[in-house]
Amino acid sequence: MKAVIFDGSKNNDDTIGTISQVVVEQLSSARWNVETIILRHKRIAGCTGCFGCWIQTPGICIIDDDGRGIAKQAAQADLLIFLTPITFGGYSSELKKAVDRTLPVLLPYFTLVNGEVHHRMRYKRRQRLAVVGVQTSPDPESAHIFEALVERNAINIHSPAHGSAVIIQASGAREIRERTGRLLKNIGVVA
Amino acid sequence: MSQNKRALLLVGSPKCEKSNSEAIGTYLMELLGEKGVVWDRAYSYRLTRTADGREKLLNDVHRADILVFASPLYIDSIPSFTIKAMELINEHRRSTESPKEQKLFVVVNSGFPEPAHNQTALAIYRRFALESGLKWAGGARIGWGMAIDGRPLDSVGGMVRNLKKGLQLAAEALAANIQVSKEAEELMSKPFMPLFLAKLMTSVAGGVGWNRQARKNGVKEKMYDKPYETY
Repeated sequence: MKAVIFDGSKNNDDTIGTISQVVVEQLSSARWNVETIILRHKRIAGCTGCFGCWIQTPGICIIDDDGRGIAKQAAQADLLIFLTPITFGGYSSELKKAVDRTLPVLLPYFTLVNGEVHHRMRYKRRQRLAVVGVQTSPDPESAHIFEALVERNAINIHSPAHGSAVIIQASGAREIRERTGRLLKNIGVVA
Repeated sequence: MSQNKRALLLVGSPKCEKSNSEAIGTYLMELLGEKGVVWDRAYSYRLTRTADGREKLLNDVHRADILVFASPLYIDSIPSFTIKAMELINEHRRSTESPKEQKLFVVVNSGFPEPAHNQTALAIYRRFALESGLKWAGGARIGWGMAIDGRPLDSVGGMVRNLKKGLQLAAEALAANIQVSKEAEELMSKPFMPLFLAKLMTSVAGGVGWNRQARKNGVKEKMYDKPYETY
């Protein structure tokens, strides 16, 4: 089983660095094959909303940069993990850049999910989704928006199981381990 | 009263001048212009790409009393480069000793028929205002953007009458330096047609439209291609 971590941290973000290490350990010990992509080290242009990945080169973004690999990794994974500093309740621009470039895994055609219009998926494989956000200090409103965003993303990719965790920047490795362990357990990827 | 006020429309769509964000935002700005507000326009997609652009963005934002951000919905949120612009503005304001008093009004539009798709993006904008010390003036959630198709609102027809009425009320409130009313927000966010009809048309006509474009590009038969399939 393959897991991909999209690390949307800024430079020198020790907390997300620790979270990433801990998650890799937890998944590896459950026999997951894990790949970590540090997004700020990649050349990923912003999605231009041209829909070329639907109507020109179906399934492949027309921008030839590392963003193509992002869509490929997302399509081939069984588990997606997003790591981000919580930014106005949402994802950092670094993470969002990658998330926007996963558009090719969707089809332009529509279906109803709980009575709401959504895009159909291009592939049969469905990804579980776990998103970990870091806050500098506890902020329930921001955390609530973050959780709602993860819910919406999970609906979009027709995810069979999803969850989110909000971790405070000053947290120690032990607390991080406990929170990520619970998250991964809740979505059924570790025992 | 609004004689000396300045407003900035930040278009958050990479389609820039051809976008629905531009069409809706410009309609609002022209109404503000009629009330004596001096307005300008900037594009987050272009400005966030270079150091000069980023500096111009911060200067343009600083000059305004009223900020209007109009963007499409990208994967349940705001496009990455517009979030980048927000990060830059936030950093700038937080590092300024006495940041200028400014208010923020936003428009989020998407192709989905249900305006509710835009709810999370609107909440993120609101948090941005709060965390950046901007006064939140309100926002609109607009669905079924395909009806606008980048055209000026006056050429779209009766379907956008509620949107235009709501924008009129929003302009009056912004020019008078008061909060945009819930009534105006609801008018702007009202579906262009009964929701069941918009959903039906999206599902059926939407597919036909994509097929037509694919056929024009000679890839109609490849629409379901799975280039990254591993089993």
